[in-house]
Amino acid sequence: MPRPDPDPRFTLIASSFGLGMALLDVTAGNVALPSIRADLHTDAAGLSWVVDGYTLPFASLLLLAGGLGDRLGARRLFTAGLVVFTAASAMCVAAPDIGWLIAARVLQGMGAALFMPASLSILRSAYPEPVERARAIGIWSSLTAVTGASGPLVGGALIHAFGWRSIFLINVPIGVLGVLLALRFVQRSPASATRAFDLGAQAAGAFGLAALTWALIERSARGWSSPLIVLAFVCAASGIAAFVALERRSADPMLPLHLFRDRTFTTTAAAALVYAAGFFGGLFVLSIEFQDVQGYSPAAAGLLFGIVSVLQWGSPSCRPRRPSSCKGLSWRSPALAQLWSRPR
Amino acid sequence: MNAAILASVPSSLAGIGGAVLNTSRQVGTALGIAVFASSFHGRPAAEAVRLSLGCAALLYLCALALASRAPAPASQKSYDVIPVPDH
Repeated sequence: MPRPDPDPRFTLIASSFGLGMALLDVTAGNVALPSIRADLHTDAAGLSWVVDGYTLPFASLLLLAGGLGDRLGARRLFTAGLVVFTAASAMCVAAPDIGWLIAARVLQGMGAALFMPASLSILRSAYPEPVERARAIGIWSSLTAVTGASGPLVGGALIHAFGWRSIFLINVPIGVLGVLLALRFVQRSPASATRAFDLGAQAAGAFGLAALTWALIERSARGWSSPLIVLAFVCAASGIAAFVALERRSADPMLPLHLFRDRTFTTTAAAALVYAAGFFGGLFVLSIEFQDVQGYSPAAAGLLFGIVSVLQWGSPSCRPRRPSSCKGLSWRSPALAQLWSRPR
Repeated sequence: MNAAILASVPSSLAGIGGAVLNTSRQVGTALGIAVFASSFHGRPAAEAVRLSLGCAALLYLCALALASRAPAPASQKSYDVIPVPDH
């Protein structure tokens, strides 16, 4: 049971643990892909589901999770998400085949969507005083930078020494500790049932997005004219259209569409989407390039990914093997930095 | 981390704004990986890598063009939230 006034530092530790753990998996995951391919006998399409199996539910549930946090309380959501994520990590460790691994990744993505936004909420309520709060959030977000850069290095070394399962295995003790810390020290947050959430719109959006991704991955193997691919594109279009229609009608939408009337907001969101497609799509490709084409070990590939991550801070688009793509995004970074640093 | 965007947006509307940005990054990630992974089908890996990274460079230029078209926000005060790779 939490004490009436627990030390907020433990909240900071618990929320950092959760965040660091999820980030490590995400950044080290790219290094692990070639080992997973060799071990579980799959192809590039299977590997893309290992990443997208996590990304899709994460993307789909992020908007919902905000509303859930208001309704159930951030502490409960954080703990539940961490439990799901930790259990799913254990499932990843035990995965006997690629289907199992992808299923476990879907669960991980759902858990992460629950606890990631909540980890910031519990931090905010643990530090009501603005200066202290700014410091705590500073520590919390610099942890993301450290983990982002060291994730591939640590992951590469782990994979090199113990195999790809080890990057999921280390989540288990960290996750259990995070849950225990949260139960013991994080203050209960008030739950309010003020915001309704629209499960119909949520389901339609997630379905449309999943159908679109499936069609894009499978299209090269089956061909554009395959009835299944056409059907998937139709499903994607109708799912997304239904999402927009439901949100437009809703009195309290998850995604207030009037936000998109603001041109800065819309172009920034579009730039974020396009940039992420290039960057994370590129990382996926580099994971195959470094280890399967160039024949580097996981440890060496981890080092290279670490360099890519560090370069990304200074100059978002730089990458070692494609200097031509570095055309001055760094001096443009005020424009691009909007993606990450919103005005307060 | 994505959620770092949320760290700099306190008001309730800004909160949903950050969540939308996070979501668009995730959606971009999912679609980018889907398209690039499908380029490996029926091609030697090295060729697929070249093709995909060429596409990635094009996508950056598009992102750059979009970002430079965005009007500057009214308040220029920004916080150095550190961007890191994530999903």
